[in-house]
Amino acid sequence: MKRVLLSIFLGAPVLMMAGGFQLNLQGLKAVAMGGAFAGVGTDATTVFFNPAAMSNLNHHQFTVGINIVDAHVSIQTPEVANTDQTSGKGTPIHFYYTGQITEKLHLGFLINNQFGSASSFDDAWQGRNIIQNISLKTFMFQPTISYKIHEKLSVGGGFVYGRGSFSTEKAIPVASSSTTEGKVRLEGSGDGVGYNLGIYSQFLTLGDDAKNTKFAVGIDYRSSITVDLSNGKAQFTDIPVSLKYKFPEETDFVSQITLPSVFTIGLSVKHTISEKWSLAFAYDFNITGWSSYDTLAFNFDNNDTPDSKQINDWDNSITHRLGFDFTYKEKYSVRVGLYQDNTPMKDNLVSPHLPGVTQVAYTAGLGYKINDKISIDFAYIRQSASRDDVSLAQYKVEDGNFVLENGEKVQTGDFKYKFNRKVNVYGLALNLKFGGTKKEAAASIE
Amino acid sequence: MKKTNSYLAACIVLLSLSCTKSQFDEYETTNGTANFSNYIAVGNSFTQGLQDGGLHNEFGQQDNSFPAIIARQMGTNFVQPTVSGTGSGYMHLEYVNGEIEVIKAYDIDITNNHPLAINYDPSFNNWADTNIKYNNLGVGGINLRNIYGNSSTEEFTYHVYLGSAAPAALAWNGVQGQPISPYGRFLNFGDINNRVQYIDHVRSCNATFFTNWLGINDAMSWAKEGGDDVSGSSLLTNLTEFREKYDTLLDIFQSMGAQGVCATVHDITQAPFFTTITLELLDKDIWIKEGADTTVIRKATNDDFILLSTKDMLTDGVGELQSNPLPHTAVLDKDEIVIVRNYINDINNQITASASSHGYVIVDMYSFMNKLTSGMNFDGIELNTKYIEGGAYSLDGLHPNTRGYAMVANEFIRVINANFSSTLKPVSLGSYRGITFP
Repeated sequence: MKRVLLSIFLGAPVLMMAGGFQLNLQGLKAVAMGGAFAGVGTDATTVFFNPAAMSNLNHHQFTVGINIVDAHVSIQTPEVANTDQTSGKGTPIHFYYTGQITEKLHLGFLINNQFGSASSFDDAWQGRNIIQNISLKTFMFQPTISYKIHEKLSVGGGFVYGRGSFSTEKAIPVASSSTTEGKVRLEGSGDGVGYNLGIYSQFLTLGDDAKNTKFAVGIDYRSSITVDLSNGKAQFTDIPVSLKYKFPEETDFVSQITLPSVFTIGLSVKHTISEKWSLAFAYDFNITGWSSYDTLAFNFDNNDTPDSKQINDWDNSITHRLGFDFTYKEKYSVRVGLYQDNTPMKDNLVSPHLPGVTQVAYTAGLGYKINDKISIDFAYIRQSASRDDVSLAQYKVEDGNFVLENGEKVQTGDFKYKFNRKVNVYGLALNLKFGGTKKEAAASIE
Repeated sequence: MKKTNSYLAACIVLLSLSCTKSQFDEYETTNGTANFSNYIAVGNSFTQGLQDGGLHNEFGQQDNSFPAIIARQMGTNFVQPTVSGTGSGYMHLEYVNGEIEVIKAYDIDITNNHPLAINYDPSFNNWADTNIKYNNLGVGGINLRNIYGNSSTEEFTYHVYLGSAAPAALAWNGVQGQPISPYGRFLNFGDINNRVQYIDHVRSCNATFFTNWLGINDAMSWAKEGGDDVSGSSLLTNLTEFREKYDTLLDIFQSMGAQGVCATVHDITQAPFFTTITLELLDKDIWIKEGADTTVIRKATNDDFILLSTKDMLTDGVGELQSNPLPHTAVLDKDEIVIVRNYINDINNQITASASSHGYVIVDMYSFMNKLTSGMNFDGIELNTKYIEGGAYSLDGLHPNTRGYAMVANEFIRVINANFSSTLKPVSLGSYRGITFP
């Protein structure tokens, strides 16, 4: 027997969920308010949330922030009572700049980590033939411009350059007399481009200067970005000699990761009660274009290594975001919010890596304006989710391809599990403003 | 104010910590209504843990026989007659000139053994202390009909097979006085004049709980030698006799008050021993002789099963010419396939009826193993009935490998839990060895 056909699928189940893969941590005022900001746009983070609202920001404004994502995920199967994910803490960062060039023209720039995920299990964990660990890191760079068409209407747009790097490991169930199983590690990096377009209108103001209510609406669309992993490397270890033609020590691969599009409509209402107090409310509605997902596909350079194809089985997901901001003397702010995150994964495709679930997460935050030039924001998110009935469908694979019958994939098994997921996110950001007089700066807060 | 602040800080810390505990509690294994304190497994090679055409334990093959896995999950003591070294000798894979080659076990009856063939270990001559009470009573090769004789002629025949007194030419190691099968020598079968029968060992086993997967060989011994619709060398056990002996066996368990489960016989014709060598693979016409008592010589069709054991014959060119067809023992022809499949259904009906009349639960291995034919996936590991590639069967193509036995154990555990309100944990198949590649 020269060629052994082994039913080993090298693709990675895409293992990422809206709340983990997509990092909704791009501005800490927004984070504290359930992530709603497309209709708010009161600081430099709007370069990301809605570039059109840059037109409301005077002078030169900077925001730099960091989050600590502390996730605790445990899984239970009928065979093993408890398995903890061993992933460390994530620390996504963001940097924003906006600058007013003319009365109508603003320029902006951002660097942030919009998508990312890192999860791992210990080497002996039961699902290691599905996934051992996976990590995705992205950096986005976005030069941006906005234009004030009318006192009440502005538009903005940015060109997005994204860099992504990806790695994953899983076990290969082949043993020799000296090994119990092999392992594959896939890693690659690449880049891609996209855009971010927004429109913003502060369409209605009721009341007078001292006591008023302002209504604004924003629409933003961030395109999908396809990161080409053209230089991927696959490394196989602990492979029996007789199977090395199939799983060589090293072979190249190409793959693509499509970061999904996000469409947002946001609404904000800010009610200024007196010189001392103001109350703001914001709501965002997101549609995230996950429908192009399910499996990461790999094409290997080595002919005998089974390529894996991509299966598209996810749904687009909808998120509702809601937040409140209470500000005293334009100096101290308290913010609370919540969001309802709907998992893009179909029930039977929830992966043990980053279990997705439709959940409500609660957010809170504080803002403190030290002076006209410097302010800081703190934000906190708490997520707690669990499910007892998750069943990861597994399909028949022949030489790297899913087997179909009557157009349907042939299901051969379930990875059944329960999970608990507890996440705390802590964020801290610094906002700086340069240029303009003290009086102008104070006025610009509105 | 300061005090309030520190209280507040303490509260926040406590809240955050309580938010990060995600662990599940450990499982507690409970016996439910079952008493697992003395678990006895009766059966044949599948129970003994035989694989790769032999009994060996170099990678824990015997330590992970399916009843041994079940016993571990029960947390009960389970004594097995384990072999050492190369055990009985067994088939293995070698990587020769860029190809994976199946090397048969060393065969004392032939002279042209492969130089790399693995022979039985010298220690296998004196294998196992017959004074020990074993929990695993699985004996390779045993048919249900062999458990006791209905006449002294039958008793003699079964004794020579399992116990002693075979002539040199038939004895497992070519030594006169040894039995034909080496696999029952851990039990004391007495001598040719004072015979002890297999059923006597069951009678004295004091089981509180048992698993019984006898019956496979009553179909398989016939089929793996190519069957024969008229006069095969090993007969399909007569159905009435089958039922009678099954009832007797369960009567014994019933009278000792044992709880237990009985497994049906799976459709052995779906095992790779029968399905691997296809005309498509050979890509030429093959001539076969239909049976011992016929003179019908015809071309094989896709409906005939050419046995895995025929590989060497095919390499030598047998079957290529009408004048030199494959012998009837090399092929389970299409009529014989129907016979053995019907027979398996018949004995399964008897097993089910007998178990139910004794109040014992059925583990439906017939249905379970059918699922393996279309493929099953466990924790990301795909298993099916393909030879070597399928990952569940051992190199002999008839017996599961360790991972396959673990899968079998899980099915038994599932049925035991469902019927005895116990909470035995199933095992993760990834921790059990599949095929060992060179």
